[in-house]
Amino acid sequence: MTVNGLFDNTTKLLIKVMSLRSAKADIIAGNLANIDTPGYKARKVDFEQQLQKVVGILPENGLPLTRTDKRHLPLNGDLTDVRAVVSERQNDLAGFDGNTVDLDQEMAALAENKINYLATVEMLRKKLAMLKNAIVEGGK
Amino acid sequence: MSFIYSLRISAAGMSAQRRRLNVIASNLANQQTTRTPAGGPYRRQDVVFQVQPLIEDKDVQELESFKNKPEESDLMSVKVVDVITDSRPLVMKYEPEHPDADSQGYVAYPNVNPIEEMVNMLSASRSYEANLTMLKTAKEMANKTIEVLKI
Repeated sequence: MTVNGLFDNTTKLLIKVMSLRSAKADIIAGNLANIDTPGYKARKVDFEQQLQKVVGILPENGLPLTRTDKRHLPLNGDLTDVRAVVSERQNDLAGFDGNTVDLDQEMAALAENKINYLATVEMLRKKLAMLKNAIVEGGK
Repeated sequence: MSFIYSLRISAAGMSAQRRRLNVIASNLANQQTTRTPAGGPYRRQDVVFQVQPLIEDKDVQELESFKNKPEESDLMSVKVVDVITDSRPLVMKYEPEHPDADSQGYVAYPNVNPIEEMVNMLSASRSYEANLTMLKTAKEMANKTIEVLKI
């Protein structure tokens, strides 16, 4: 396990994902609030691809981490560059009032975002619980 | 990371839909009203929704605006900016015995179409529910995050 201070890269990644998903929730909230506003264009948030790119590269300085499994995460500081890109949702059929919010699409996005967020939080809880376990048991 | 924004936006959405529902209730209640303080029969009313950009602290935001204008917010709240009066013609009914009948015996009734109001009512109710679901989700996410502190 690579340890930068007390927290490893996985913990940093989890915190970043929570932050990004929370930002996505804000945008979905905006779409839902404006579901009846004439001319409002629905927005979407993308960060998954960026995140995968960052997770997939090796550290620039220092020895590259040996990965015994290709699923291991070779993280580095670039994680801070990942940002949630907001854009207008394309290819939507606008209603008579020019509003492009699709309720079903938004509710699905909301549910997906929530599930992923809660899963991430649970992972973080587990990580911290492990850390606590190591501290407590080490003192005995 | 902040749940304040989604909670605020959802609350604004719910408040706007509630206001719309109040106007619809007023329209339905006054379907047959021929007298108003302003004189003449009641006229159908409707709300005007407008996007309200939420000013937020850019430092804590993870969002990258597609507008490339840092001063413009990506967080969109909503607000009822106006309640307008429907200018469609009133419904004229021949009722010579009615006290508000004109010289030809016609009474001007409000331009409220109950079917239209019912459809609007359902739409407002569904939109309210969508915002409520969002609010619940944001609350659940926030509560779950607070649980991390209990470790």
